[in-house]
Amino acid sequence: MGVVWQRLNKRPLILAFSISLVLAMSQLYPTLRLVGGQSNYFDSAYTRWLAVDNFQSISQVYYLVLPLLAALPMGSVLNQDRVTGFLTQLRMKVPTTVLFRGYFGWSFLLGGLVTALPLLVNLWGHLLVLPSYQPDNLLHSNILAISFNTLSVGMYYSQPLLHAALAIGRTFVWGGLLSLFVTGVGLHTRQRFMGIGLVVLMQLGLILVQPLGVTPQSLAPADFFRETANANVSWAAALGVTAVFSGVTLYLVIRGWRRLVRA
Amino acid sequence: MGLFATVISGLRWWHWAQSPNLAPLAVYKTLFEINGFSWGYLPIGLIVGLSVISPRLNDYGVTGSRLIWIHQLGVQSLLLQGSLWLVWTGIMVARFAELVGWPASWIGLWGCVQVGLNQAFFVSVALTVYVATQQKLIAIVGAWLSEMLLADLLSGPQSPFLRFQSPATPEMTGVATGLLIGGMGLLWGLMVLIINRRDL
Repeated sequence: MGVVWQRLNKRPLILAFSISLVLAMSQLYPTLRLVGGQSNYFDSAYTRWLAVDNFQSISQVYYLVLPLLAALPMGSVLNQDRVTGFLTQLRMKVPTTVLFRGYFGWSFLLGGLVTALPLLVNLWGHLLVLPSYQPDNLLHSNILAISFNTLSVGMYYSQPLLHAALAIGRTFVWGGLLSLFVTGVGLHTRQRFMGIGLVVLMQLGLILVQPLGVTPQSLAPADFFRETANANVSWAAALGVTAVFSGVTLYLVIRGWRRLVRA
Repeated sequence: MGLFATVISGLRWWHWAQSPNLAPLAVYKTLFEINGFSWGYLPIGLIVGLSVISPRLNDYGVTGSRLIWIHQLGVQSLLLQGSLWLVWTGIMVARFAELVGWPASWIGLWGCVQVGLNQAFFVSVALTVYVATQQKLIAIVGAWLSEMLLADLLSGPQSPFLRFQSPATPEMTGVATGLLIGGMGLLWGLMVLIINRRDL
């Protein structure tokens, strides 16, 4: 994986990480103002951090631009190298398996880290500022964490840290998958932008379709990344969408790479 | 992608078709809500528009002038954004007319013109970033993110941006439109400046 890391242009990576970190820290800013004692006695880190906050537009923005941020560092690098002929040069010096692992491994890892790490920093920031009280379904009824819009709602009230870790984990996996999908699409087209356009429009399409009531649960990834969503969510729908998207991504990656190797 | 965007627009229209017996102003506010622009229309316009443009279809050698790149950016953007705007306007005006009747549908058209002006402004912002950085993704993220983050500020009563939310007096509309067009002029001037200063 070292070869691909050396080749990687670090500026988009730094830019994507900076944008996601700034968004995550902007959501924390109003909480920092509570430090002076204006906080409600029942405020908890688990009821105010980014993945549970449905009130501030910044948290909605974070999940809307997440596919773009995930794809920014590594999504189109393989496509670029294929089109410019740099990949052909690399293949003469480095084994194909090593290159495969490098491109797709970094794609998944960086896509996941760029989207999940800022969430971790945001949660950590909230835990530094606010007490880690367990959420209470009466005291914190304003956040409306109920079975319809929260995956494993019982765990949210009994093991909030574990629930938050699961939300961050889901974001990491999906950030990685989205980046991998963009990389995979790049193997089938010369249009660098096709994959990125597809993931963003797919997410927007699923969000816009949701109010139509076509499906009882939301199929938009942005809704089941978070701890509580503005739409109905269920594990079945979340796992189903994840399985289908993973399958399509794997197909694109493996078929595209085989075609490239045989060419 | 253009087809996909059209389908999304159509689905939105279908959704709003379920709201029965609303007053014209209520219909207007529902159809032209700010989140519909920020979360739906603008990103579609930016992605569809910037993904297929190519400023170097005809290169410098053909005309001997760098302005050819600006012309190509302008013509391609006009065609792409114009097509999207026409589809959107058709759907919105038809829906508006269906709910409140054809005589009042000019209000819907007024809203679509305002949406189009804002679309043109934010696409110009994205094109300026693209010309400066040569990175389409950064241009889209930059324009979309700045619009979403500044939406509350930009939609304020004194702001010339995002005025499609509520119909205003002709004077206010005139000033807002003038400021938006002036802003776009500045952005395109900046693009010419960047292209002229860059090495071939």
